[in-house]
Formats: sequence, structure tokens, C-alpha cells
Amino acid sequence: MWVLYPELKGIDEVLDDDLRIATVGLGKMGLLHSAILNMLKPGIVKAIVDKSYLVTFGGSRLIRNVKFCRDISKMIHEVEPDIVYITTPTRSHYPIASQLIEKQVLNLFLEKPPTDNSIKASSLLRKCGSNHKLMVGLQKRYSATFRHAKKLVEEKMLGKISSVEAYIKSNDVAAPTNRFDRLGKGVLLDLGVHLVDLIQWIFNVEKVEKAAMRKIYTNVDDHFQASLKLASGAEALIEVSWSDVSRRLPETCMKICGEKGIIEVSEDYLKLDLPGSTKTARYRPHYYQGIPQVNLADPEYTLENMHFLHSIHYAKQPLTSLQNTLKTMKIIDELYEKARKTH
Amino acid sequence: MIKDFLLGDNPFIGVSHLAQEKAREEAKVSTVKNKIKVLKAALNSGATGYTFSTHDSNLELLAAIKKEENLHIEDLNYYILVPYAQSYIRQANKAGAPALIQKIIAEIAKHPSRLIHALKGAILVDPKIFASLFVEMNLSPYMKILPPKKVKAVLLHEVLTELIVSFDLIDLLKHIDHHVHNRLNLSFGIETRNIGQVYNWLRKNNYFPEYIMTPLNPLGYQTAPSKTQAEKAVKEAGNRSKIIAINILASGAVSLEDALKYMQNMKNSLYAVAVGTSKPWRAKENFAKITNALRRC
Repeated sequence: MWVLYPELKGIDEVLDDDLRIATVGLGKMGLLHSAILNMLKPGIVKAIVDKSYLVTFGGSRLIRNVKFCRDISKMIHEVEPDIVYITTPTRSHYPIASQLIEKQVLNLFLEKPPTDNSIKASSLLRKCGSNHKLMVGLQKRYSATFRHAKKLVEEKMLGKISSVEAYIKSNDVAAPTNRFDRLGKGVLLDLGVHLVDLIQWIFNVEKVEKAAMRKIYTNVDDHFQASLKLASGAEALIEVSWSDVSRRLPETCMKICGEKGIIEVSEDYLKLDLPGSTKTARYRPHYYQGIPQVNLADPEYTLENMHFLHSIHYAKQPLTSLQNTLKTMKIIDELYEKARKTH
Repeated sequence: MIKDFLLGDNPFIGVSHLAQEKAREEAKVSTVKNKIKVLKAALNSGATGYTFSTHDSNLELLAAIKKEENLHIEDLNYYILVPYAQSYIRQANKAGAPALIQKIIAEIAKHPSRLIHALKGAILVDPKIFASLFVEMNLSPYMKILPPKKVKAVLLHEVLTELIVSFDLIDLLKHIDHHVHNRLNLSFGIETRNIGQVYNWLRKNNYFPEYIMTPLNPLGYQTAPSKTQAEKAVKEAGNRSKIIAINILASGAVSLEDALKYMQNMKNSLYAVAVGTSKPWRAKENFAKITNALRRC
């Protein structure tokens, strides 16, 4: 199993480090990352910043070993964190990250999407020095099944890739809402960023061919379809939706067709069909045995956090650094531009 | 020796830890009628109880069982997992965490029997009181249907258990335990997928809930921090708490035969075992084999 996570060798040593972590934004993701980090190393989360009085006051009454603040500067002054996790709504990522970079916090984890467009992502990168580490929460790259798929594609198991069909779907928006109006972007940026990032990571996207978006419950894109030309010349068709009522949980699926066979891969499984030779299916329980060492939500979240701590310890840039995911953000921008023109 | 053999509800509510595609297939055939058939088949083959989360469809199922002629609600022991976390995660996605907290507090205070306690929580500014009332609120509709004597335990869902452990909230856990015992007159337990870490934390605090529900299988799937450490933790915790093993088939990745062979080494530490299926024939077959293999000393 560790063969899919070679970079995590020596993780026990990493967890001996005496690090101080702060989380900005105690929503679902802030809570999840904080809990995983504390399970990996008890007490590693020292501070939580949230603008909600209810959250900070209630939290401080309940959790005694964490400092709760409503002000980032105050937290930095009092806690001096080595790492800050930014898990606030997307629009606030850029100003918060800018402030933290300015305050010389060297290690930042930005929940996905890192910013609302690639211009802001580039701007953040320009603000950083060489010793800054900005990791983006694109955790699908830490999923064992997708890593396995990438490995098989790179080893030419399928031969030349002829086409890719992929989707990511959830049931997160199933009723009318205007809460995305201020951001002005919907499912492609919020959920589709995972799929676009996986395709970029595994295949390298050359250009956007076609894009179309549709509103269902919001004033932004609830459904997005696109065609991407890959570096190999193959076409990738993608579909993104957050209004699919048949999904209990978000699900990412990819069907990769090559001259020698087909791979179907999701967070749950990898099915390999090489006609006349091999037909195998491997599921989650086959991949996640004794790994990761914390089970909270999907394993990819813990693996992602382990990867970040590991990168900091060994002074390496993370796999999903802002630099390494900038191309994904540029593709997202292009997709929106193309879809708006088509519209 | 294992006392309770439980049917688990995951396939009934569209949950599969193998693959979502499997869960969707199972959910399609999971009508109330079919679920009752599965329960009857399990019961006839030695199952003694049903463990379920507070998902709305279970309310519907239990109400239907109450009207059944060939299956009596008193025939089963019940182990209730509280809350159905995914529903709250979805609500948090929609409205954000602060709005969800406000909504939960308003819901808690709505009911006259909880209002006084909620006011006490507000006056003392004690979130522990609200957390306990939150458990009570989720449990409430089920307790109107189930015979209290047959409710063997209320188990805290893993999401809450792991949060409590990760933030070292022993007082909160004890408060919920106390509330469930004293106000609801029910036994209390926790569910965890991090039994190794949780056991160490419980030991450090010298507190063990009456029940601990945790995955246990030959693959070490969902047994953190490792299979060996989880096994050790189960054996040691088994001296202090009643252990309920779940996911013994590693979500279907191991055969029943292999799982039962493995469980032979663990059975002395276990109080109950749970397995789920959406098919009556499989319930019949599996429970016959499980009870036969694990009841024997």
C-alpha cells in the first residue's frame, strides 16, 4: 500500500515535531482538518479563529485547550503558529492568505478552491518567498485509487489513451438558494475543481475545447459540461453537478480508454479491463489496510494532512502546492470564459 | 461469549463502505416490505437485534414493524446510533456551521420537556447541556415507537466520538453518558473507527462507556491506527466495555468464512457482532453461519 505513498516514508518522525497549528474558519472543513490533525498528534491544534461569536464563544466554553479568537492578528501574536489552515468561504481565502503571508506565517493550507480565480492565485504566489509552503486542499490526489490510476497510465498499462469520460456529482444543492451570488461562480469552482485537477494531474490538459453551464437552483452554474483536449491528443469529456439527488455523498468517476483496455476509477474502486488478459476490481478495503492511521471521513483527508506535515518537516513543496495547482485554476478560468461565450 | 447478533442498517439507508454504486443498488431494493423480510430472515436464523442510525427511513421501518403480525417489535434488541451525521453535514454545507448550530438550538428548545434544560444550558453557558439535549432530540421519535426495555444502548456516532477524543472533551462525553443514563434511562456507548487512539484516551481518563462499537475484520479495514493496535485495544477495552464488532466482512471484501475464522480469536472480547445485508436469503444464510460459529464456546 505504501507504494502509492512513497513520499510518506518517515511519517512517524514527522509526527514527533513540535508544531503549532491554527485553523481559520470553524466550518465543516475546519472542524474536519482540526480533528484529524489532533488525532494524528494530540494537542497540535492550538488556536481557532472564526468571525462568528457563537462559534468562538461556544467553542471556548467547550474546548479548553484551544485558544478561540475572532481576530487573525491577535491569534498570530498570541499563538505564533507554525502552520495555519484556511478553511473559510472561498472569497475570503485571498485576503486571509495575503495577511498571513505578510505576517510571515510560512506554512499555509488553503482549502479548495485556493482562490476564486487564477489571477489571485498568481498574486499570492508572487507574495511568497522561497521558504513559504502554500498547500491547496485538492485531496483527490491523495486518494489511493486515483494514485493507482495515474501510476497505471504512466506505466502505459492501457497503451495510448484514446478518450476519457469523467464526472463529479453531489447532492449539495438541491433547493433554490442565492448564497453563491456574491462569489458569482458555482459548481465548477466548488466541486469541479477536483475533477479538473485530477485530469490535469494525470493527463495534462492542453486546451479547453467546449464548455456549457446550466442553472438549476442557483444564479450560478449548478451543472457544467466540457470537453478538454489532453496533451496526448485524446479528448476528455467532463460533467459536474451538485444537484444530483441520487448521490448520498460526492462521487468522482473516471473512465479511461486506451488502445489496450479500460480503467474505471472512483474514490471507491479501480476496475481494470485488459481484454484477453486481465479483468480486476479493487475496492477501498483492498487499498486502505493499516493506512491511514486516522479514520475520519475519507482516508484522503488524513493522507493529505500527513503529506503537508511531511513536506514541512523535509522542507519540500507539497504535491498540491499552489504552484503545482495553478494550471488547474487557469483551466477553471478558461472553462468559465468559454461557457459564458457559448451562453 | 457473544450475547447479541445484530442486523446492521447500512444497506437499508444507502450506505456502503465498499462503493457508492453498491449502496445505490441496495437502496433501490430496500423497500420497507423488503427490509421487514430481511429482519424476519435474520431473526429466524439467530439474529437477536437491529442496530441502526437515526435516519428517517428507520422511523418508517420501525412504525411498519409495529403493525406487522409476524414480526413483533419486542422480538428484537435495539442499538441506536445517534445522530445520522450525513444529514447534519448536508445542512452545514447548505447554510454554514453557525446557522446550523442556531437551528439545532431552536429545535432543541421547541419541545417543552427539553426547554427547561435548554434554558439551564443558556444560563450556565454550558454547551455540554445542549450536546446532551441534541442526542435526546435525535432519539426522541424512535423512543415513541420502541419499547424502552428493548433499547439496549444509545451509541454516539463516530463523527462525534472522534471529535470529542480529538479535542480531549472527556467532560462532554461523561455529560452525555450521564444524561442518557439518568434522564433517558438508557445505556450509553460510543462508536469509533479509531479504536486504538480512542482506547488510549479512555484509559488516560480512566473512563469507559458501557458499550464500544468498532470495525473489526481480517483486512484491518477501518481499524486505526493499525490492525494489530486495534486488535490489542479491543482485547483490552473488552475487559471494561461491551464491544460490538461491526464491518466484520470489511464491507464485503472478505468472505464470511474468513471473517468467522478471524473472529474466533477475538470472540472472547466481544459482546455483540453486527452485519448488514439487503437480501433476505443472505440474512438467513449469514446469521445461521455466524451464530453457529460464534455462539459455540
